[in-house]
Amino acid sequence: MNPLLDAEGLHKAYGPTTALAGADLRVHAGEIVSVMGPSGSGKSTLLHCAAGLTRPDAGHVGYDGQELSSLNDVKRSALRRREFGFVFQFGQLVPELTALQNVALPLRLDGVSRRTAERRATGLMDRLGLADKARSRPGELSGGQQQRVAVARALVTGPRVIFADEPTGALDSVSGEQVMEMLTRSAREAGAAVVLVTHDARVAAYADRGIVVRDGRSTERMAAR
Amino acid sequence: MRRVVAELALGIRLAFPSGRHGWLRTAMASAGVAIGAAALLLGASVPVMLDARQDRMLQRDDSVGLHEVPPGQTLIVASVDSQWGSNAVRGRLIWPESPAAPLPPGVPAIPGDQQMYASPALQAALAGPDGDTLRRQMPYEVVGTIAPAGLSGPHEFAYYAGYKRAEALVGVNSWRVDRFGYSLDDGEPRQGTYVVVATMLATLLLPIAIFIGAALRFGADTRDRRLAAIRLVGADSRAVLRIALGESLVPAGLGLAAGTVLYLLVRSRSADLRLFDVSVFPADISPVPVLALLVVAIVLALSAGLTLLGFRGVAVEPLGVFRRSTTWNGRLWWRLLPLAASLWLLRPVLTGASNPDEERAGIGVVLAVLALIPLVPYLVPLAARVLPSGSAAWQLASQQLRQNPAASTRAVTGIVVAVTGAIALHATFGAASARREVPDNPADPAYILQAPGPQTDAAMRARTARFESVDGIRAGTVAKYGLYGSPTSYASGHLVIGDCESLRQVATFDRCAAGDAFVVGDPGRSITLDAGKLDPAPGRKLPIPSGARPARLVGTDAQNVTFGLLLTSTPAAVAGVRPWFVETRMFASEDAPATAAGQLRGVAAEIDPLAMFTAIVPEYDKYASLRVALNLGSAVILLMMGVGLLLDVASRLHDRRRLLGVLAAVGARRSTVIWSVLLQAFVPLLAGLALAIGAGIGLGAVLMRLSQVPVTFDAAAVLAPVAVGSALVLATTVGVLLPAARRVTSTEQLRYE
Repeated sequence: MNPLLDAEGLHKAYGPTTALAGADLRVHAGEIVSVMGPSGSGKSTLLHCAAGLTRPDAGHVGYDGQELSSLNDVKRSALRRREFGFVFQFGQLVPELTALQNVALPLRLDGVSRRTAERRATGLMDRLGLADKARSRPGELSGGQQQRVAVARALVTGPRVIFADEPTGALDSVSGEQVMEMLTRSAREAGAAVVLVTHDARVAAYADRGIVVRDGRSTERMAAR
Repeated sequence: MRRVVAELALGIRLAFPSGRHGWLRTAMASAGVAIGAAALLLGASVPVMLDARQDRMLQRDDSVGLHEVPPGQTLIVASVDSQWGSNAVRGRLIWPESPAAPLPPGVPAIPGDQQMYASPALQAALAGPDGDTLRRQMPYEVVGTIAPAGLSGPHEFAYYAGYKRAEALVGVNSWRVDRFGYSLDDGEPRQGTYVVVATMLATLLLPIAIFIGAALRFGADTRDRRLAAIRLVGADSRAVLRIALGESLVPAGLGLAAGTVLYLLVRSRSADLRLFDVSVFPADISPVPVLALLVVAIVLALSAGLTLLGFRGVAVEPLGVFRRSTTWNGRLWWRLLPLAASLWLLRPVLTGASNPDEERAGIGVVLAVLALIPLVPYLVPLAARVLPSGSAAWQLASQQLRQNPAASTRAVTGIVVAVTGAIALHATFGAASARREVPDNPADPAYILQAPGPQTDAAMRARTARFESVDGIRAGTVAKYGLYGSPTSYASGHLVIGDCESLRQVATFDRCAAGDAFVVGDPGRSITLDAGKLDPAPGRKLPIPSGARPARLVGTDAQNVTFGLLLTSTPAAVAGVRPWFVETRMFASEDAPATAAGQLRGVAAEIDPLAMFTAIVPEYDKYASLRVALNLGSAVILLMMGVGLLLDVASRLHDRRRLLGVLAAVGARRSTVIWSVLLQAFVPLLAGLALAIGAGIGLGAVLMRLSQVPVTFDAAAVLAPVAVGSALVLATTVGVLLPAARRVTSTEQLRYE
């Protein structure tokens, strides 16, 4: 079976610092893949390149048969709206909007009417147990609650791939587990693949398989589960 | 389309802030827009205001010019215009020749003899503290009020008095009208008025734009993070711009609404305001619809433009906001281009051309103000290089100033522009009012009364005494006769009769006693009186008395009169001949009271309401109200600039807090770091103020030349705006910034993410 996302031979340097030196990443539909490695190894850069957030210096990233580097900003943005979801460590929710409006945001940006977007967001938040937080602003939520709202937002458009970069990095262990439970369960229910960057082995244990990045190169790890 | 609307709506939604910074930012930007919008709306109302005022003045115009109206259904009119302090008084003595005589606008009926209809402002003044003195000018019974239709503005002093004697004076002091609303001269603004108004607008609007820019930049890092987050969930770069534009619509909309309220407030209080003796009815102030729409468009475009300008060199990406570092272009030549263009436009003024094109000069003046903007960022690194390197604080500050002078000088530019404009306008108005405090010729009197009619030596002495009863006034009364014929073609001659004291005010001579005679120039052996009414005609002949000694006329007469005879008593040959006029000259000593002019006018009106009273010196400082307005405007602008500077420095401090935290962590003294922050604020300010002083003096000289005022500078006019500007910045920087600087120099800042 062809991988849904296929990054091969990626090179990326920031000035004199080499972040990636021939890294590969293959993700099949519905699969959860962890990316592990020490600090500065290039794992976040690999995720950014695979998601089309950063253009690699060399190598290619294919998604569903199309080359990401050949897409212009408008098409890559549309991809982020419709096909991808993102959960980062922090700073991803818009503080001026309520939790509901944050979850509905990708739909609104895609031209969905406000009523429809908020109805779909409400339904999703109900399923994820966030109904009582719908009217709260991010500043009024705990770190764990914010991450769960971010997961809801990543799922609302029905994406095929969710990119999660240290999603529990700023949380205590209990909250981290809750977020990971919710993320992986929801992704499996929705049939979405997850690329999970983490340095925490307990978080990586939620993945189907994993790769390790070291000095900008990736190697396949044993199956996690 | 739906997406675009959704993006704009999202931007609007995001503009309703959640944090303290956000509220401050929206409030400041809205306040800036409000002041700008109110100023623009008032500007857009000026044409309507002037039209309405001019229309009423046209409707009441009674000047028939050389045209003589035959008697019929006519009204006899005599002008008794006068002055009361800073108020021009429009007075008309009227008498009907028919029951169907035309009624002046705003007057319901012709008043009876010695009765008058007066404007509300005049009635209020008559009832006021000096009302009795004013009443001497118009000792008529008030029987009604002139309606607004008959007034140029709510503060106008005007009256129509019934005066039967006017009938006997038709052709001399009064004339007939068969209607009101004769054509009116356009009353073109004085030379330089447009230029002064253009300078004021440029001085006002430019700092407002800079202030709005500073307010929008405040808290920009929060906005940047927000936009990056939106980018991450699928907004493309254009969508982000549209969201930011939507965000800028909120302060623009709030500012427009607040500006409209401010405008309506000013409009409702407009009846209390006066400038250059011009007052307006609130109903006169309504913007031209097209201009009002233009104002809305300008405000929206300004907000949108400033927002887009904020994204220059900035890339909002899903992972964050990246600023492209630009190499500082320290070249001078292109910065001098606007200045060179303005100097070229102002060349006719600078070279003293006799009749400079006012529009060209106006563009030149505005360009000269704008030319300062690119010069300030050049001056700052220059000053940083020239100043001796010394303390560690200065090293830190000078590096920052050299590397990014544009950021360091953004808010200072507004102060430079405001101070330049204030210096130029202050100096011009100061020079203009100083010039008019004394007569052009020091030998000329302060006031002159010229009344027709017969004279006797005793009557003239009595008249002098009446004027000298006013404190601080010295007077002299002479009778003046025109002479026929002249030894040279363009010369004119006078026979002047008065006592020795009175003659001394007209001429200089060695000594004088009753019976003495003096000759001016070379009148020959005899003089001939001019008996003609319009064209010269020979009248009685008078021999030059033997023993007449030479005398020289003083003041303006010395230039206009080339020959004549001065006598200390009326000779038999002249008895019964009407002089041209009996002239009383009045000189005011320095201790004369402020009300002297008003009292003298009262005495003059009692002698003859139709006599011509001329004030050679102004009876008030006509620039006083303008100076008050200017001071108020300067204060508001400098205050805005102070707040703008504070916002600007605070956000730069916020941006650099991690670096400052590092400096503190590696052992830099807090005082060193704080001094470096303060120097970064002061050095651009000092460099800017030096430029403002130079530019303000230059611009002031141009305005003085355009206004035909001698170029002189009063140190107070130059230094006052500089002092106010500096004090304001010192107060904001030291008082408010210092605590902020203390906070950000803590090692806690290293925790910032």
